[in-house]
Amino acid sequence: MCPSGETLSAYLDHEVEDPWKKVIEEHLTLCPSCKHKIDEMIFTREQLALGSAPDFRDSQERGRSCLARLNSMQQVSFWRRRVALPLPAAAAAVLLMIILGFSTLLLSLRSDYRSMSIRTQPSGTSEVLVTAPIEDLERMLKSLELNGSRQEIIIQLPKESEFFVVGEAEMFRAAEYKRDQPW
Amino acid sequence: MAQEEDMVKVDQGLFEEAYETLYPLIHKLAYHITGDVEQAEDLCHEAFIKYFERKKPLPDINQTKYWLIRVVKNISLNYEKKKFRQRKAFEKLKKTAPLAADSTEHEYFKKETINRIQRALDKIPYRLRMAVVLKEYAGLNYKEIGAILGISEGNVKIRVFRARQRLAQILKEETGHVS
Amino acid sequence: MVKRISVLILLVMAIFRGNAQEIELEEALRPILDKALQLNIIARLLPPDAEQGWNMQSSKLTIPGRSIAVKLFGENIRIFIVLTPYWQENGKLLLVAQGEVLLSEMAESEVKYLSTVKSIPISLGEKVLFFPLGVPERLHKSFNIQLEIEILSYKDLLEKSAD
Repeated sequence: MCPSGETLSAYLDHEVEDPWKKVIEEHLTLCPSCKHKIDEMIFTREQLALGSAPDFRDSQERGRSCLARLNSMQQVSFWRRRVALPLPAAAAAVLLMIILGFSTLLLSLRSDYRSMSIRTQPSGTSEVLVTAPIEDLERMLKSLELNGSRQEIIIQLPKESEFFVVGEAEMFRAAEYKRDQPW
Repeated sequence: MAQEEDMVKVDQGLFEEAYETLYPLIHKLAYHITGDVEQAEDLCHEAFIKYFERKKPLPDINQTKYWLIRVVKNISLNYEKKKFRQRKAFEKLKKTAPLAADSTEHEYFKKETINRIQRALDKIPYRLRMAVVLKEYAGLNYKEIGAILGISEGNVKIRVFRARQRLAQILKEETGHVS
Repeated sequence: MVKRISVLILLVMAIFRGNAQEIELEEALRPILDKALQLNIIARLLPPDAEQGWNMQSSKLTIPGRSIAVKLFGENIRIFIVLTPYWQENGKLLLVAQGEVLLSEMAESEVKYLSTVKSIPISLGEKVLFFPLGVPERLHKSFNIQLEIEILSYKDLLEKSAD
C-alpha cells in the first residue's frame, strides 16, 4: 500500500513522526513510483527556491524615512521634557544606552533569563543590576563596539520653496556671523 | 513621568530591531503572495505601520514575526478580493465592448512578472499559494501555518500538497512552450 | 577614539570576569555617560526677505567620534549633512560637517551634485552656523538653508536638571 500524495508531501516537510516516518522511508526504497513522486516535489521545491524576490533594500529605506519622520516628531518633544525633569543617574544610564542605539543590548537584557532591577541603596543612590549568562555578555560586548546605526534627523522642506546654491558651503561661529549681518 | 519616557525609548528600540530584522522576510513574503513589486512594498509598509501603531510592541522577535505575517495575510486577502472584482469587471467589459477591452488589457493586467516561478505561483489559487509560500519562503511548520491561517494542520497539509501538484503541472507545461 | 572604546570594553570585561553572573550597569556605563554629548540642531529656512522663516529643532545624543546625520528633503533638492564631534587635546571640541547637495534647478534638466567638508574648533555651548548652500547676499531671490548647531555635555545637562 502506497502512502497518499499528501502524506508524502508532509513527510517531505518533516511533519511525519516515527514510527510512520520509518515506514515511509523503507517504502521509498522499495517503491519507484512513490520515490518519483517525492523527487518531483523536491524538484518543485528547488524551482521555488530559484524564484527570488526583488531586492528589499530600497524599499526598506523608503519605509524608514517615512517612519523616521514620525519618530523625530516624537523625539523633539521628548527632549524638551527630559531637560526639565530630574532623572536618577542609573535610569539615565539605561536611557542613554537606548538612545545611543544599543537596542540589541537592551533586548538581550530584557528577555527571559535576564533580570534587571533598579535598587535604591541606603545612601540614596540607585543602582541597576543585571543578571545575564556568559554568552549574552559576548553579545553585549559586540554591541558595545559602537558600530550601531547612525542617528538621523530627517527634515521635509516645505513644498513651495525653491533652492539655489549661492556659494560655497560655509561654517563659522554664530557670534562671528552676527557681527556682520543684522539678523 | 521619567519611567514613561524610558518605556517610549525601549519601545522604539524594539520597533527598530523588528524593522531591521524582519523587513527582508516580510517583503519577500509579500512579493511571493501578490506577485507585484509595488503591491508588495505597499503591503510591507502597511504591515509595519500597523505594528508601529500598536500601543505596545511585542517583547519577542518571534511573536513579532508571526504578528506581521498574520497582518500581511489579512491585507493580501483584501488585495485578492479586489483583483477578483477587477477581473470580473473586466470580463464584463470584454463582453459588451470588445474593442475597448483590448486597449485596456495592457493597463489592467499587472506587470508581466519577469520570473517564471512567480508566474506559476500567481496562477494557483490564493489559498493554496498562501500555504505554500509560508512553507517554502518563511520556513514555518504546519502548526505555525495553521495558526496564522486559522485552519487545521490537516488542512495545511492538503493545501501545501495541492499547491505543489499544481505548480509542478504549470512548470512542466511552461517548459513545453519554450522553443 | 579607538583607545577610548577599548578602555570601555576592558572595563566592562573586567567587571564581567570579576563577578561571573552580575554586573553593575551604572559602573559599566559611566564612561559613556561622562563623554556623552547632546547636539542641539536648528534648521532654518531663510526666505528672500530675510525675516525669520520656517525652522525645525531637533536634538540627538552621541559620543565623540560618532556621527549624527541630518537629511533635508525638498522638491528640487536633497541635502545630506553628517556632523561628527571630536575631542581635541586642548580640551576643545572639533566639529566636522560633511555635506552633500543634490539639486535640480528649475531651468536646467540636469541634477547638480556638490560636496563639502568643513571643520571648526569650538567650545561646549558655543553656537555654530552651517550654510550648506552658501551664505546668501541680503537681496538674493531664493530661499537659503542654515543649520545652527550647539554641543553640550549630557552629564552637565543631567546635573543641572537635578538641581
